[in-house]
Amino acid sequence: MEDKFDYDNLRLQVEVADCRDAIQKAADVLIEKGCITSGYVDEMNAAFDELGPYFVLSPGMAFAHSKPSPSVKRTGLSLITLKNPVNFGSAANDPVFLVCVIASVDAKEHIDQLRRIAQFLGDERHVSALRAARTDEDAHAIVDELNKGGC
Amino acid sequence: MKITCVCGMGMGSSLIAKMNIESILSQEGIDAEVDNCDLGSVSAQDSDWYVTTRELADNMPESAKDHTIVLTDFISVDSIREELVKNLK
Repeated sequence: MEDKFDYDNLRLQVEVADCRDAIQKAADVLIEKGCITSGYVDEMNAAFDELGPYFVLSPGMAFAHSKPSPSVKRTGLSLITLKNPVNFGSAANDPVFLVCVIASVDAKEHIDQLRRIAQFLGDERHVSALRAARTDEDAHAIVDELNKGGC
Repeated sequence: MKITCVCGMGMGSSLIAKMNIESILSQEGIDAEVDNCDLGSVSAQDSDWYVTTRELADNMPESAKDHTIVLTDFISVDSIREELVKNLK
């Protein structure tokens, strides 16, 4: 898989109705690129139903995913920021302004990209930049910075 | 020492936690093996410590609960370090 994060896998200021819509919109990025089918959205929602909002891993950030399945055609990760943050029901980490969808064809292929994104988001300055980002130039600069991170 | 990070699917959240914990332990000079798995596989894992999120903590096997570290933040290295050091040192 291409190791770098693609510019068009980040979308800014997406309008969503609620948390399920936020997952759908973040998944749409990967559906449009042929990484996943809509079945993967159903699988993520089933995991949400069963296990709750445990994937809201940090204040404001949700990492929606299921596991490798026939719905995953290619490994890919997407990031969207939300125009209006929404609640996922996470006592500690609502409201969510950033949704990452993780899809991998196996247990390992996504590891390098996931590490890069997790390290990037572990830096408060990067999170502030994402919150403030509005334009294509902002998105471009953020992806460049993200791809600088070593694996 | 072995630490097992636990999440719903065993490939997203727990993997992020494993990466961050490995890097923190190496900075702190703590020698440990860090693994990750899904909730369904916990009982098959023999581990000194388990790490999971608040929402999943209630689903941990009874036998593991008294050595489970519950994190509300899997991303912030400073927050994870604080919880780990408090429990492990």
